[in-house]
Amino acid sequence: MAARIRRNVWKLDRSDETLAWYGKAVAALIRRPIEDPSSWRYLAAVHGTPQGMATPASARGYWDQCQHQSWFFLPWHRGYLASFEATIAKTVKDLGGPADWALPFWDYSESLSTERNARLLPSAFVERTLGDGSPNPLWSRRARAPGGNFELDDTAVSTGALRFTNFTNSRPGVPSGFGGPETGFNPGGGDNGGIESVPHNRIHVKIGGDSGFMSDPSTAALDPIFWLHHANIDRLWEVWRNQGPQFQDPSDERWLTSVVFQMHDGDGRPITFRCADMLDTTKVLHGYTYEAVPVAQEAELESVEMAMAGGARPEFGGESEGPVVLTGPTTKADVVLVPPSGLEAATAEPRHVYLNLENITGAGIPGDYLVYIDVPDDDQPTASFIGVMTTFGLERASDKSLSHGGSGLSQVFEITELASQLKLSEANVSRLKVTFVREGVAKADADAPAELADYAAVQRKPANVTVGKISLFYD
Amino acid sequence: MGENLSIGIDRPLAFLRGGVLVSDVARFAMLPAASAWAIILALPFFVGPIDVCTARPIGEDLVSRYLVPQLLWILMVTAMMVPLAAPQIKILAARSPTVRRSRSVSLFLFGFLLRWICVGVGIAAAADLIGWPQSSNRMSVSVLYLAAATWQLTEFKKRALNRCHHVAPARALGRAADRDAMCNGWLHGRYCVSSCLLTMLPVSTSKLGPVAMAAVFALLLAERADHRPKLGLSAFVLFLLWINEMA
Ligand SMILES: [Cu+2]
Repeated sequence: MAARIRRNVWKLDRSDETLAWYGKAVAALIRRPIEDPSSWRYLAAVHGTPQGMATPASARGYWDQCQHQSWFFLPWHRGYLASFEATIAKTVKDLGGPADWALPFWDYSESLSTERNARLLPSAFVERTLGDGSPNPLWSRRARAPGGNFELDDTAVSTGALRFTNFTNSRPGVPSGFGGPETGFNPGGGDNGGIESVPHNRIHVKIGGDSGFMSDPSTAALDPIFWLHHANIDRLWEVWRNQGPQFQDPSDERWLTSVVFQMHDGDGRPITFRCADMLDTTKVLHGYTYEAVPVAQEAELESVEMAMAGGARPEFGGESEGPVVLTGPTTKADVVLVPPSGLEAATAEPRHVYLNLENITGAGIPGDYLVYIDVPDDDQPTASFIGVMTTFGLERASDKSLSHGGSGLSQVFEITELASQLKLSEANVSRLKVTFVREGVAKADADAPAELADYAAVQRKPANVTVGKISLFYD
Repeated sequence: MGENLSIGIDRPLAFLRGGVLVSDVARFAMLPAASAWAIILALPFFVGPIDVCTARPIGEDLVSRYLVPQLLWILMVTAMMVPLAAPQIKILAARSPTVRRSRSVSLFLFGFLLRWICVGVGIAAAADLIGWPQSSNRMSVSVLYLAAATWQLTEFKKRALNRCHHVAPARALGRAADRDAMCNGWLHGRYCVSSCLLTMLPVSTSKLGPVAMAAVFALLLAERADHRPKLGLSAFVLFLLWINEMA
């Protein structure tokens, strides 16, 4: 069979039945028992399981496998989506639908000038009920958003991550590239790759709000929109690679072949895959392609140089004087800079400067934080925006009993331009003032689809966040 | 590729790649451990047959009763436990200013080993108190091996093992950095002790000596590095070692 084509959900014809069949399949899967690998709840449990939910012996090694804050994030989710797509497609076919059903993607980052609805939740997912009054299988427990407007602003849908020329990074103190840091299996802690942070993490928490399924990795895949969101992230991986020959996946065996993931195919049979199997989408399980991914470009080398992997070890440049507890709408913290030694002062300005947020721990769903650095402007300092600290997965990353030991999340921002503006390499600047502005989370609906009521009943811990340390590195 | 900074679970081969011979891990974790292994293996050639892996008293006079076993215990811990702390050491080194990298890591190791030394002293005292047999007999060896194998199968072990992947934040400058490095070493020592102590004890009474040490070290390294730790398998290996001791 020819490879399936994943289409832009906002560009589907009025007569297109992709989403109608998706809804029918969801309704069928959601009724299946959780032990069935082709059930809705089993598939969601592959991503994560809520605390206290027992894993049946038959599901060991299959559940709770999602790869976050890792260079395995993109390839693992690619296999996961294919496994899901195969299951839905088989169900659609069994129900009498088309044989070539493919998962659509939601491109919230598309320019509003070409698609004015791009940032709205696709309409088929918005209403609780269908025209005939029956429950809408595509509705889920989400932040309250009239008309599907989750107020996705530029900071939420930015595809700035595409500018990374490196997929991964192994140097401490430096951003982790497009795809994520070099890690072992299932780290769930540490820092996110560029694409995982924004738009991935941002969209999760914007859609989920304070207690919706999407805000928590252990329930996220219960929401039917999860899969369209991840199809878009998966598509952006293709977009990234097609920008030019310098945009390369890792060639390291530790990434390509050393880790084996296991899931099920559309017929419920166990399958295994490695990252190396995930590089050509037409060969992933049944095979698929994306509509409208720009074809591979010849070299177009412009201002894309960002934190290349390899190179020298960055040098420590300063730190906060202790952990920073984020309470209230804004929190300010000082980073004390190391006085430049004679030798450093004698050399040229640093090529890159990075602000690190280390050991971000906490509980609940605190939402994301906008991070600013004060820039003196005559007398009145103005705050310059440097990026978003995302908190998706915070509680799990902070749990010492889980396999990564609860070290929390971390985040790295490149602030080179700002640093030269602030003349950080000059001796008279001794402090950097960092401000965290809480964005807050929207209140979510109290109820959930009837079959998933158990998941909605889980009590959430009150939200809190602490940044273990802010530090500065340069090279 | 530069240095590897894997927050999360390292794979064993990752330690050996990426020019690791000159890296922090080699310098701060592998070098002390390799030296300890060398001393342990060389010791019998210099002092004659000696029960190298022990924290138990091996004689009546004060030195052989207390001091020697403790020194041997420290050697054994350095050989087996310090490499397991490689991820923490690597991150601490990476996050320290170049000028005080050695200082911070040394303090971390000091705190870490201090925890194990306290445990060694505690074991010696406890052994004295309950009159644990000085030369290992079938009974004492069996108890320790079977306890270790059982421990590997418990839920407690899994939780303790997970904690060993924790990396605490540390200040990088001044006294605060000294304090944090040492406290983090001491804290990591606690996680390490709770996960590994019961598996170390049979080694400390084994007549297989360095062979048992190497086998248990391999088990502990694998469970730290493996993304799905095969604790059942390691319980089985401990069981096989026990059979071997009995033979
Ligand atoms: Cu996700």
